[in-house]
Amino acid sequence: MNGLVTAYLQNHELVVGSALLIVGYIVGTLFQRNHLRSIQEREAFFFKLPAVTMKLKSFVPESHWDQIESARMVVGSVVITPDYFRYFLSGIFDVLGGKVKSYESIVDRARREAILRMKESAPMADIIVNTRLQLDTMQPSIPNMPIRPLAVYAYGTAIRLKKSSFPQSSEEAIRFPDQDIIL
Amino acid sequence: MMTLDQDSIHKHSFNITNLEEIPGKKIKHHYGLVSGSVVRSRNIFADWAAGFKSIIGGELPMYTRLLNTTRNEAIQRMIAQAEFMGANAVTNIRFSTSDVAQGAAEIYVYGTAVFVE
Repeated sequence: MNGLVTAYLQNHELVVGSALLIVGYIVGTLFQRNHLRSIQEREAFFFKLPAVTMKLKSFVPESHWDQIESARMVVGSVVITPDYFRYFLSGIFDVLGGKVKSYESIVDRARREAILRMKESAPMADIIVNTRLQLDTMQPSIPNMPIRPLAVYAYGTAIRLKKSSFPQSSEEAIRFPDQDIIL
Repeated sequence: MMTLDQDSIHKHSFNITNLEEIPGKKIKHHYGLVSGSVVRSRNIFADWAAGFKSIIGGELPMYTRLLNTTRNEAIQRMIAQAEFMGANAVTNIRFSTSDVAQGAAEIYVYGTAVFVE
């Protein structure tokens, strides 16, 4: 047993690798939990501002288009990287096959965050139509870096009606003081 | 939280949208396809920071900021092209991104330049 422990400690790569795994697991799980909580809070806040993939005609018929105050494109983007532990798990699943739940949660978080940022840039809108999502993996220029960060875009057109349910000077404007409110 | 540079996109009354038309307005002229493209490489410090951050996972704010400025620049170029043609709006905008080289990314924005009244 002692021999095994000393053999393990002498193999520096193994020691560093397992330390990275443990740190990645603990801190990564903590980050993920906090991020999911923040996402849920903000999604509840934007409950009344839906982002839909359908065209404008499905919501406002063409005969009522004079009721629209503004229609502006809004964009939200985020770059998220998986932690070392979850990356390692995906490597194991590569061999065994099957669902990689650890990566599913990262992709899900990235997409929801991008949609939320898009909504946050248009807090005065009534609806965001024609929403499109795009995911892209980035390639860092560090040699031998296997983990690919995920870049997600969400873009759509924010519609504000003349008889908007949101007043022009509402709490939303105060809640996002560092953002340019365009609607 | 990072700030979105939406203001620079929506300068003066130039209207950009990813709908097929500008609601409530009539399209008078079509000017065809306009596009803007920016290829930008990330600096090595951002890459190292990303390398360390990927041990614990989470957002990479430097990359996000870089992506935002690059995208806004691409939109600016598209708008400049449309303005040069005499358009006052761009409709049906699409985004496309690609890794053109190791450590460099391209953002391509394209749409249809129109004159609306």
